[in-house]
Amino acid sequence: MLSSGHKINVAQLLVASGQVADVKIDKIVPGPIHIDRLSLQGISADLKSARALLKSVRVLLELRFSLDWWYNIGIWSDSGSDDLGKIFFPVHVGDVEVPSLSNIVLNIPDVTATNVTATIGPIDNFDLGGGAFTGVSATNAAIPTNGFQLSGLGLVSASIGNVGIPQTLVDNVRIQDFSPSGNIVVPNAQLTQLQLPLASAGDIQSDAPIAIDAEATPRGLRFRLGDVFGFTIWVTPFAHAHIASFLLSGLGVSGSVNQASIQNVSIPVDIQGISLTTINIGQIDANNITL
Amino acid sequence: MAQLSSEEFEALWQNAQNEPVVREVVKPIQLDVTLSGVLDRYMTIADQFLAQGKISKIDHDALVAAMTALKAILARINDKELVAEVVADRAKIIEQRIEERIANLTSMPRR
Repeated sequence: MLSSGHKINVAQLLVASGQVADVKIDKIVPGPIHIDRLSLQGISADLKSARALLKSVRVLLELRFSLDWWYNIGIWSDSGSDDLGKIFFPVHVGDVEVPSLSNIVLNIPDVTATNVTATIGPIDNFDLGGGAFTGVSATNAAIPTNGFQLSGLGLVSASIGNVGIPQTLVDNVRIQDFSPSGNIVVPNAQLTQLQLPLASAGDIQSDAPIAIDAEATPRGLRFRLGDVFGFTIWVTPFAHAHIASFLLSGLGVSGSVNQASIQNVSIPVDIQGISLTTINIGQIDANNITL
Repeated sequence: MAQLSSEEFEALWQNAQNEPVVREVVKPIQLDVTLSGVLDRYMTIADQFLAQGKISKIDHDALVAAMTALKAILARINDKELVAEVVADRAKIIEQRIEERIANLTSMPRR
């Protein structure tokens, strides 16, 4: 039997095959994601506003007058047209509240974006192929587990060049870091009927005053005193509205995407803290054991 | 129509605050309503009547003689100044009525 005071140093273990009962990965850190093409179909968004406020509304009503006149008193007669100038009526309306507004519905049929980059959270259950390990440690290796025996060796020290061990049980293997050589590639994926939750937004206020100018059709008032005297007063109204600011408050935004598809998503990953428990290795080749 | 800028609106707004209730537009007219003025104007028309054959030369000469005699009297009594005074007095009365109406308009309570 092996003496308990000796240490077995295995310089190199070549594992041909084995089984692992459980694999635990502490953390997968994905790198920046690159998406070749992102398509969104049937986008709709609702902008809901509880109320709108027009602040400090002033209206300047302008009336422009002109006069067409004539007189005919026998020995004298004349006619003409004159500009009589204009009159302004200042009307201070004050704040105007619009209590309820209809929702503003935006329908966008199709949106396509290419070369999109994004970041995501942890990922698991992927086949990552080959890669580089660092910081591998195995604990509680039992050699052999099935009928392998070294007996009658009472050596203080010995060196064995090559030995084949048929079956070995390792309790725990820990890999500190694993960087797979390949990226995670998702060829394409589709998501349907995405309902975006209602989100509230802050008040929206216009930066600059709002000016509205309008002109009405001229109207005339005709007066006639027989064939002696007559005139027509023409009036052209203008309205100049000035709103200091426009405020939308109690805003809510909700939306939905009928269908979203992504194509050729490539994600580089770095996996940290892999634990493998109860590993049953079928064949280990040790090419140099020092006792 | 051109849209007013904020500065233009403010200027118009301030001016409108201080505008009088009634703006007066005065258009001078050249109308001599004195009798001598009417006679002068009528003689011009009588000359046209004569040229058009609507009145005879005898009648035209009679009109000229009568008007010349009347105008001499009007000149003696200074007709133009007398009539001008009457017109000015009546204009004052009309102006006073208009001012009273404006005063009543501005003193009415606003809704």
